[in-house]
Amino acid sequence: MTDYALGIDLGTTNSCVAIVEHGKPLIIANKAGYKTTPSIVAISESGKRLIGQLAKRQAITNATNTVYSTKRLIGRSIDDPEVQECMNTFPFEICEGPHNDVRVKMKDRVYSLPEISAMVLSELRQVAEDYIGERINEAIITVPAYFNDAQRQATIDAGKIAGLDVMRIINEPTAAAIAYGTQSQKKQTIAVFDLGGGTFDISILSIDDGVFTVLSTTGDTFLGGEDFDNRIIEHLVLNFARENNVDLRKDPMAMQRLKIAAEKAKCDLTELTTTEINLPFIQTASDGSALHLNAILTRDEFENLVIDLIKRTLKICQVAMMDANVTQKDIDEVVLVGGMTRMPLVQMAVSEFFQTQPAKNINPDEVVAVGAAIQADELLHSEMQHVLLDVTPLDLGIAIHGGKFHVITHKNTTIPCSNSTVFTTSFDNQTSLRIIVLQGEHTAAAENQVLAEFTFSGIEPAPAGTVDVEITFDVDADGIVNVTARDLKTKKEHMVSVSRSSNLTPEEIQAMMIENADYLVSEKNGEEARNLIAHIRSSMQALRDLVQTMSLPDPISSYAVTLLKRGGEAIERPDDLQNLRNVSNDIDGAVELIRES
Amino acid sequence: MAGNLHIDAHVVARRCSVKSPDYSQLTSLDWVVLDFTDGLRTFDEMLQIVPTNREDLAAAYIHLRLLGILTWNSPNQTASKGSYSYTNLSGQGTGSRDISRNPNLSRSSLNALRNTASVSLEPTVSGYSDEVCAQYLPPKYFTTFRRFEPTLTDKNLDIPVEVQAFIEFIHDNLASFSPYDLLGLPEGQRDKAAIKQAYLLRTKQFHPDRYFRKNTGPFAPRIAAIFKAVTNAYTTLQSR
Repeated sequence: MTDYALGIDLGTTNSCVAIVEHGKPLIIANKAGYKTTPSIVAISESGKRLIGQLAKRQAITNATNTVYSTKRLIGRSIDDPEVQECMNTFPFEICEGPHNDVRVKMKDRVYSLPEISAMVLSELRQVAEDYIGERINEAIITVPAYFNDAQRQATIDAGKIAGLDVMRIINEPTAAAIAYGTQSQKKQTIAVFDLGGGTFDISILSIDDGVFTVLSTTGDTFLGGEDFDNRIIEHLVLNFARENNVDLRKDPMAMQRLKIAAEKAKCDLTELTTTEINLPFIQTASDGSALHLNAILTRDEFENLVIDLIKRTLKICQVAMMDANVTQKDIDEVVLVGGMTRMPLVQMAVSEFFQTQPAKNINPDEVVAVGAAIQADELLHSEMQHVLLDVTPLDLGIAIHGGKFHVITHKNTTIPCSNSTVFTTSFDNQTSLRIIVLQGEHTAAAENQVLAEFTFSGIEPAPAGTVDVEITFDVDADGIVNVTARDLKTKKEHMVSVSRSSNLTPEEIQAMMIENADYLVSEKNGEEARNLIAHIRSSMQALRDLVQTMSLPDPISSYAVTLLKRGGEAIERPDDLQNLRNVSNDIDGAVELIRES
Repeated sequence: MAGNLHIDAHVVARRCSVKSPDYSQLTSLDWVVLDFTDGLRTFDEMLQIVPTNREDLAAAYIHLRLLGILTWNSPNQTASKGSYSYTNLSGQGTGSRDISRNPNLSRSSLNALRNTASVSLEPTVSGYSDEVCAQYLPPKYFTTFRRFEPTLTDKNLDIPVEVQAFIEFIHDNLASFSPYDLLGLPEGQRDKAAIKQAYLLRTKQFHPDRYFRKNTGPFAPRIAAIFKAVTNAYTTLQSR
C-alpha cells in the first residue's frame, strides 16, 4: 500500500484528479497543463486510443468514433427512455449489450460503458502517478448523489477495469462539502448546489465538530450543462432551418460543430452580454452552393432559452430543504459546484433562493475531487479528523400485495442503519413469501428498481394474518444492503445480501481489466520505443560526425561502423524494445569514449 | 465479587516490568503484599506472612495484576467462566526497567519510580478510571463494567485493547441500554444541543469508518451494531 490515494471526480463532460500531499489537497494538472480532463474517448484512424483533450480536439473530424457523456448512460438499461433519447441525439453508435445494458461502438469494436470510463480513469491515474512518481492503487470516485445502485456499481466496475482499488464511492455534493468544510471550523448548515455537465444535485449538510451529516440529498440525473448547450443548438438549428430549409440534425459532423460552438457561446456569455456564432460551410444547399451559419446570441436570449431549466433546479432545492427539515434562514452558506454554476443567472437565482451569497474562493470544477482526495487520505490513514455521516439516496423497501412499494428504510437515513417492519401472510395456509427488494421513489412497485428477489419459505400453515414475518434492512457504511426475513414465532431466518447488480460479470470485468492493462503497457512501450528511436537517430548522427572528423584507430573505427549498422537495424524493428535499449546504450557509450580519447 | 476469587496455593507472584502504573489505586493491603513479593514465595507462604485471610489476599493479588504491577504464571491459564481468565495477560517485557529483580524494593522506591516508568494497561477493566469509563458509559454502569470479563480481547487487532473492552461490554448489553444510556446522557436529558454533542462523540468512537479496512476481527459487526443503535437512539431523542 502506498501513501497516496486518489480522489477522482469522474464527470459527465470533464474529470479531475486530486491527492493529498504533505497534508494538503492538490489538484494535479494533466500533460497538457489543464487541471480538468475532458471525459471523452476516441479511437483514431490508426486505431490509437485517444483520451481527454486529444480526443476532444479530433471530435469534429471523427464524430462517429468519439464517445462522450457516457455518464448519462452508465448503469442504465437499453430500454431506459433516457437512453433512447440519447440514441437519437448522439453521433456515436449506441447498441445493446448481452445483459440488457448499454454499449457503444467505436471503429467496429463494441465497448461497455465501464470500459469507456475506465479509459478516463486510467488517464487520470497516469496523470497522478507521473506527478508522484509511484504507483497509486487506492481511489475514491465520486458520483451524483442521485445515482442508484446499478449506476454506482457500474462506476466501481470502471475503477476495477482501470486496475484501481475503489475504496468507496462517495456523493459529489458530500465531497464538495468536505472540501469546503475542512477549511473552516465553524458549526454550520450548508447547501451544495451542483450543476454539472449532465446532472444536477442538491444536498443539505450540517458540519459540526468535524462530523459531516448529510441531512438530505436529491437531484435530477438528467439535467445539466449539456441541456443548456442543447437549448442553444435547438435554437440555432431551428433558425437555420427557417432561413435555409435544411435540417442540420441529419448531419453528425454539423451537429458536432454546433455542439462545440454552443458550448463556447454558453461560456462566452458568462463574461460577455453578446456573442457571435460562426460556422462557415456547415452544409451544402440543394443547389450545391455552400451554406454558412452566422448567428448572434445575446445573454438575454440565452437566459430566456434556459430559464425553465434553472427553475427546475430551484424546485428540487425546495424538496431538498423539506427533506432536511430546514428553511432558507437555516442555510449559512451555499457552495456552488460544476462549471454551469458560473452562469450569472444561475448564481443570481441561487443567491435569491437561499437568501445568501455563494461561498467564495471555491473552484467549482475542482472542489469535488479535492473533497474526495481528503476523504480517501483519511480513510487510507484511518485518521478520523472528519467523520462523514452519509445517507441512503433513495427509499428502500419491498413490493407488497397490490403492487405497492412498502418503504422500510426511507431515503436520507444515516448509514450504516438497520430498520425493520413486521409483515403478515395474506392467504390462509400460506407457506412462503416472495420478497422483492426495491429501490426508488415511486409508490407503485413496478416503477422502482429491483435490487433482489428471494422466497422466504417454510412458514407453518396458518390462517391469513396470523403469521408475523419481520423484514429487516441493514445498510452498511458502503451502502451495501442486507435483507433478512424472520418468522417471529419459529425464529426461522433467511438473509440475502443485495450485492449491487452489476451489468458485467466478474469474468468480463477481469478480461476487460487485463485488456486495459495490456493496452497501457503496449502504449507505454510504444512511447519508450519512439523516444529511443529518436535518441538513437541523433546519437548515430553524432557518431557518424565523429568518425568523419577524427581519424580513429582501427578497432574503434570498425566498432563504430558495426554500431551504426546495428543502430540502423534496431530502428527498423521498433517492437524489440530490449534491443533498442541495448543499442542506444552502446552507441552512447561509444560516442562518450571517442570524445574522451 | 469476593466469592469468585480463587488463586492456586502454589502460585508464585513476581513484580512486572512496569511503565508508570497507577499507584494511587493501591490499598494498604496491596502495598503490604507488594513489599513481601519476592518472586519466590508461593501464595500459601504469603498467607503465612501477610496478616489477612485467603479471600482478601487473592483480591489484592488480582488487583495488583490488573494494574499491571504483579504477574504470575497461573497453573490454570484458561479458567472457566466464573473465575478470572488471564490468557491474554502477560505484563512482561513492556517496561524499560525490570523491578522484579529487586525483591527489596520498598514503597518509597516504588513511589520514586512512579513518574519515570510507564506501563501499558493490560486488557482488564476493573482498574479503569472514572474518566476513561465516562468516555463510553453513563456513571450507573461503571460498577457493572468494572466486573465485566472481556472474552474477545486481542492485542493483535487494530483497536486499542481498552476500547475493545468497552465495545464488547456495550454490545453485550445493547438490549438493556436506554437511548440515554447509549449516548452517555443522564436520563431525561432534554437539551437538544447536548444530545447532538453526545451523538457526535459516539460517531467518532463507533462509526465503522474509524476502522476502515483495519483488522478488527470479531469487533467489526459489533461496532456497526452499536453505531446503528446509537443512531436510532439519537433519532429517538431528537424527536422527543
